[in-house]
Amino acid sequence: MNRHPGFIAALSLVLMLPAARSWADPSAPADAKPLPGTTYDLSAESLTGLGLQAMDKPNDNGTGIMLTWPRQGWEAPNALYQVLMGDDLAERLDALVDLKVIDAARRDELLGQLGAGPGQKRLFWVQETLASERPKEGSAVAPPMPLRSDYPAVFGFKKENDGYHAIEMIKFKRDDLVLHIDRETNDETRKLVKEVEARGLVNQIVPLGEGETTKVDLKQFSDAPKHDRTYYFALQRVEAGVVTGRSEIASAVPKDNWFAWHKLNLLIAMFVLGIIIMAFAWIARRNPTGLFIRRIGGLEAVDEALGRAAEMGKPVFFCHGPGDLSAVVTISAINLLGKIAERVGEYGIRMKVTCLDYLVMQVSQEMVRDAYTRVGRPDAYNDDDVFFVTGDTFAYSAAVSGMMMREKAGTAFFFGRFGSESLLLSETGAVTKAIQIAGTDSFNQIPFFITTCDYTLIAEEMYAASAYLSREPRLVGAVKGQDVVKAIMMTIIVVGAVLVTFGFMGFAHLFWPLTN
Amino acid sequence: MRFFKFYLPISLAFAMAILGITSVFVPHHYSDNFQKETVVWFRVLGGVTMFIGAYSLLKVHFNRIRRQQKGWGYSALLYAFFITVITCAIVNYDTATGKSKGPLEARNMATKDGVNWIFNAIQRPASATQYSLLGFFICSAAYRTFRAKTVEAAVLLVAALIVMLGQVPLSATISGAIPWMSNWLLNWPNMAVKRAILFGICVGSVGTSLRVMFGIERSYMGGD
Repeated sequence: MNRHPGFIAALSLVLMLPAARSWADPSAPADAKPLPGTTYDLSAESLTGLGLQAMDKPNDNGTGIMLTWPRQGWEAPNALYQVLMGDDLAERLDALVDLKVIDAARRDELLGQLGAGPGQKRLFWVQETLASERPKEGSAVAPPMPLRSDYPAVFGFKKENDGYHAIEMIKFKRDDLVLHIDRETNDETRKLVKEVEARGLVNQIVPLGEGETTKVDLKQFSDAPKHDRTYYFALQRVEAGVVTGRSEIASAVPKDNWFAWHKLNLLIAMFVLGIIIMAFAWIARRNPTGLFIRRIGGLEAVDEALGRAAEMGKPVFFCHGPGDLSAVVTISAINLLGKIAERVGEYGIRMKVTCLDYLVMQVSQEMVRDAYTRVGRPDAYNDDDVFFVTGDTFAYSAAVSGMMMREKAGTAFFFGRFGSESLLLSETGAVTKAIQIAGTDSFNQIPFFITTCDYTLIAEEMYAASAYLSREPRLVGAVKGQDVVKAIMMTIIVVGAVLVTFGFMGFAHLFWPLTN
Repeated sequence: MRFFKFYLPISLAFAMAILGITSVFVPHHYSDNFQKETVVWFRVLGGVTMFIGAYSLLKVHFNRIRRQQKGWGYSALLYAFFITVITCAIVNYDTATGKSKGPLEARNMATKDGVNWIFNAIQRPASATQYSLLGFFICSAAYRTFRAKTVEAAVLLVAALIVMLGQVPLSATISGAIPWMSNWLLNWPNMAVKRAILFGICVGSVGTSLRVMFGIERSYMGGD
C-alpha cells in the first residue's frame, strides 16, 4: 500500500514530539523520582485508584473546589496525603498541601494540650493555610483529615459521608509573585526570606533600596481559584517520606452561582418572620388601642431623671458608645436620643451629647436640632453641645469622666454598644450622684451597668425603646410582632430539643444549611 | 422639600437594605464586588466626616478657651498636642535615617519619628493607666452590689465568690469542687442567660431593621 510521503513525514513528526519536548526541557529528566513537597513528572508514575473526585463547590462565588475520596485502609498517624494541583494539563502538577492523618482521639488530646475544646473548627487549617505553614512535627496540632460529614451544606447528612475524606481548596500558593524585601533588615526578615526561598514560594526575591523595609505576611503568598478556569488535581500517598501511591487526575471548574440554595430555609424563615412583624404593625395601625406593651422601668424613669436634672439645674449627659452606624443598637440609641432631646427641650435643660464616631456625631446633631425644633425650642440648640470627643475609647472615657466630674452631671444616659469604658463612665457618674440610665446589647457590659446605674435596658429593650416612648401604634405593633416571633422560635427550640434527644434529627436538619 | 426630607432617605434605606439582603443570598462575584464597593464608600464617607469631627472638636475647645470656662486649660493642652502631632506628621522626620520625608511619604509604626514617640511614650501609657483604673472600679462596684441585704444579693455574692475562687489555682488545693462549681456556673446558668439575651438581640435587630427598611421607624430622620 503506497503512502503519501507528506503523510509519513507528518506522522514521524508527531511521534517525535514527546521526545523533542523532553529534550527541550532539561528540568524534566525521564528518570525523575518524585519527592514529597516537590514538583514531579506525572507521566513517569503508575496510577493507583485512590478514587479522587474534584467538584465545583456549590453555592459559592466561583472560587472554591471540593476534593473528596474514600478513606483508605492504610491510613495511620504517620501517613500523609499529598494534594497536587495544576491549572493546565501539562505534565507537571505542583505539590499544594500535605494532609496528615491522625485519629479523632489523638486530635482531641492535642487540642486539650493547647487548651482548646474538642471538635473546634480551627482544625480546618487546610482551607486557610499554605503548605509552607503546615504544622511542624511535634510543635503544633496536626489535624485529622476532614470528612464529607464536616461539610453538610455540600454533602448532606448521609451516614456514608463518614467514609469519605473531603477538603475545600479555596487558597493555594501563587506562582507569579516577586517578593521585594530587604535581606539585611533584621533576623526575623532574614528568617522569613530563607523560608520563602526554601519553599519556592516566589519566583524572584528583589532586595529593596537602602533603608527601605517591608513587612511580609506569608499568607499573602496565596491566591484563590479563578472562576470558569479548569483546575487539575491529583492525590498521592506518602509513607515514611516515600510516595507509595497516586490517584488519577481529577478536574473541576469553579463556577459563579446566582443563588445560595443552602440558604433557602433562611430566606423562607426571614420572609415568614418579616411578614409576622409587618402584619402586627398593620393590625396596630387599624386598631391602635388593642396592643399591650409591658412596662419598662428604665424608660419610665426617663422623665423622672430629666425632671431631677431640671430641678437641680445640672446638665444631662448622653454618651454614645464606640459602636458606629452599622450597629443596629447605635441606630436605636440615636432614635432614643431624639425622644430624650424632645423632653430636654421642653424642660429647658442643657444636654451634652458626646460621640466617639464622626458619623454618629453628624446624625446626633441633626436629631437634637430637629427635636428642639419640634418642641418649639430651636434657640436651645447649640452645635457645641453635640460633639466629637475622640476615636480612642480610653481617651473618650477619660474626657467624658472629666466633664462629668467638673460639671456635676445631674443625669447620665449611656446608650449604644460599649466596651470596657462602660464601667469607667458609669462609676464616675455614680460618684457625681447622677441618675444613670444605660442601655446596651453588649452583654459582657450589662453586669457593669446593672451594678453602677439606676436603670439598665437589657439588649432588646433598647430596640423597643423608641416605640415605648413614642407610643406610635405601628412601632408598638412591630414590637409586638417581635414578641410573637420569639414565642415561635422558643417553641421550635423546645420541640427540636425534645426530638433530637430522642434521636429524630430530621427536624433539626431543616434549620441547618440545606444541600442541593 | 418633602422629597429630600422623607421620600429620598426612605427610598435609599429601602434600596440599600434590599441590596444588602440580596448579597447574602447571591454568592456571585458581582455581589462580592458590590459589598467591597460599599465598604469603600463607607470609608470614604468616614474620611470626609473625620474633618467635620475634627472641626467640631476644635470648635468646642476653642470656645472653652475663649470663654475661659472651667477646665479651659485642658482645652489649651488639646490644642497644643493637636498642633504638635500634626506638625510631626507633616515633617515626618525619621531619626533612624536623619531625614525628613515630608507629609506625602508613607509612615508606619516601625518608623522612629515624632508621631510614634508621642504614641508610645504618652498615649499608650495614658491608655494603660486609664484601663488599669478598671480594677479599682470593679472593686468599688462589686462592694456596692455584693452587700447581702436581700436574698438575691446574697445568692449573687455566693456565686461571685465561687466563680472568683475558681479562677485561681489556690481553689483546687482547698477543694476540687470549687473549680468544678465555678465552671458549672459559667457554662450552664451563665451561658443560658447569655444565649437568651443574644436571642433577644438577634430578633430585636431584625425587627428594628425591618422598621427602618419599611419606613415605620423614622426617628432617625427627625421623626417626620
